[in-house]
Amino acid sequence: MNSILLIRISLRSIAAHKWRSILTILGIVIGIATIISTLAIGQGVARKQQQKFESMGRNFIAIEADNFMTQGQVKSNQRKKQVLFTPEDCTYLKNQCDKITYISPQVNNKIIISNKDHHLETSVQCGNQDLLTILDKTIEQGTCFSKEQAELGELVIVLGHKAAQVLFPLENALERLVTIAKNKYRVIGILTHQTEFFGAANPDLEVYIPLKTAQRKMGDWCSNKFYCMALSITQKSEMQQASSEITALLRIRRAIEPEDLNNFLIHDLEAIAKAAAEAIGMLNLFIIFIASISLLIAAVGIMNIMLVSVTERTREIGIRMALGAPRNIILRQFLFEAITLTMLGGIGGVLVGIGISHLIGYLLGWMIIITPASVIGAFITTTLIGLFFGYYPATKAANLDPIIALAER
Amino acid sequence: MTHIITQNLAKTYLTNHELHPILKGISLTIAAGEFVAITGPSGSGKSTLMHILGCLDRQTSGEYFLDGQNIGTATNEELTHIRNKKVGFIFQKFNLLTNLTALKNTALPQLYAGIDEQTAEKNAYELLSSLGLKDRIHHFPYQLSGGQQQRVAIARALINKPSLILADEPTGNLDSESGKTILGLLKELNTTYQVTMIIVTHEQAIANQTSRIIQLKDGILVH
Repeated sequence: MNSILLIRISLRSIAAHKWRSILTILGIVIGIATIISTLAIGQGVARKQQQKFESMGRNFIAIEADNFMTQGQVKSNQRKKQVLFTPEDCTYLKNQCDKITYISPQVNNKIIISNKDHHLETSVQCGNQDLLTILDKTIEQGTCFSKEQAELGELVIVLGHKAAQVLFPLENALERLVTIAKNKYRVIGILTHQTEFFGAANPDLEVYIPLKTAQRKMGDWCSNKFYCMALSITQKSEMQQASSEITALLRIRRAIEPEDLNNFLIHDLEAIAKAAAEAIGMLNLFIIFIASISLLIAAVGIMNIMLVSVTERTREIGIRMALGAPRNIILRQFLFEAITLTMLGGIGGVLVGIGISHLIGYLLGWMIIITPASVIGAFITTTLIGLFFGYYPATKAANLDPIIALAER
Repeated sequence: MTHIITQNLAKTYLTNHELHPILKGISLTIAAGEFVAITGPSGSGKSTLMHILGCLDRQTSGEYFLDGQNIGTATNEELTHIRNKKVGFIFQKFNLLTNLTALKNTALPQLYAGIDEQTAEKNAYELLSSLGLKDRIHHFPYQLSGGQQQRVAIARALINKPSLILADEPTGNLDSESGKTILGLLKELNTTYQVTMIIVTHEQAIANQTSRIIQLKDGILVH
């Protein structure tokens, strides 16, 4: 008796108990659908993140003037005072480390920016002429501020794509004047539209002015010292090396004792990307773990229903044995039935999972990636569940004594 | 030619730590092509004897030779094979599989013998046709009368061309008219196929139609 015939016998037997079979495989469907859609969404989010990081240029490094990571771990008995960066620090690093292409202070603050009746509360980023290049921003219209404008602290501003639209809904913002804290700034550039960063503020609303300008006109929050530096590295492959060189240089410049920890913090984008991917991965793993529990419960349900089926069909098994059915065929018949059930659950789960993923993707505008690996994995998992949880009931059927089985009513 | 030889065949069941002897030393010989009735009151052990002769069960002691083969020393796999190839069972309650058509029920032993489905169903069709069930092949058991169901069961018992047919009260669930037809059919098969036919029955009228009566009482041969 070949396997195709056994599969047909299994399907016939499952069709004979349509509702029972559907209810039994429902748990498998839900479990597999959850895993498939979780993976599809998780991978979509991860891919989008990755694309975003790649578009930002991976050769970006940010340095903070304090290290929150050392809290509670300082070795000396005295809390070191926060030492802010100065423009001289930027020059020093640029001169000492040949891997740095550009370096700029990076200061930001919330401001209100106005054009007549149009007001926008947004984040202003202040730095030198290289800040926009470092941050990988591209200009759609106009220019970035020049070295001279930056050094003189001229009243010029570059607007994010959306910021320009909000302030000048009906006209081109270029070469117009906007007001920040009663000072008029000339719009010299407008940035291209950027994709939103998962979980972060809309970058299209940001505006950029020279740091010197901010120091002159907004001295209440902006001084000659700053908390953050942004810099770019010539080669992506040199990120790691550049990070350690900068660390060494800053430790010397800030006179940190060998036993003390860094009083500054270097973020390279690659590490941030990695951490974000890890966080998404952990979340996915957790959801898959929960879904696996539902799958396990469903598997126990399959075993239960197969045991019921064997008991119900004891007489049938006895007849088959009397007709000369070998035990291994009885075993395979019930095993195939269990596997057919779980695989039908797997097929249903994959279809429902794909449906749910696309629905969520459509409703929330998220990227959805369904990999062949997750579909193949679902089929392998359900087959193994059928094999594993169907084996005991199948052996029970195959080991029946034909006389006792035939005597069953 | 002898077909069946048993020597001191005994069967004892163990229930609740108590031994229950059902067969207490049966010695008999049945020739090939014989038409034999096993009779006796209920509890006399005739069904157990039939199960052992049909290789569904094993004796506790004694010897059983079928076609010269010592059944007592055969493995379970060999017994399965013998049931499939050499023995055909006919039951009182027909024992057709309810979710299979007459055709598929009849073809089943051939599938277990490793014959492909198409050939098996062709053979089943021919056999059912010869038994007058040509227009009933796609009917399920519940769509057939008792006599028709028993004829499907007979076809199923015959499909692998066994040398031995064991019928356990084959007319017990039938009205007298159908019972007569079925008995006539068994007689006819006995002569045309030269198959050894053993009928287990408690009805003297049926037993009288066979060529030999083996009478059992309390697990021993009376006659």
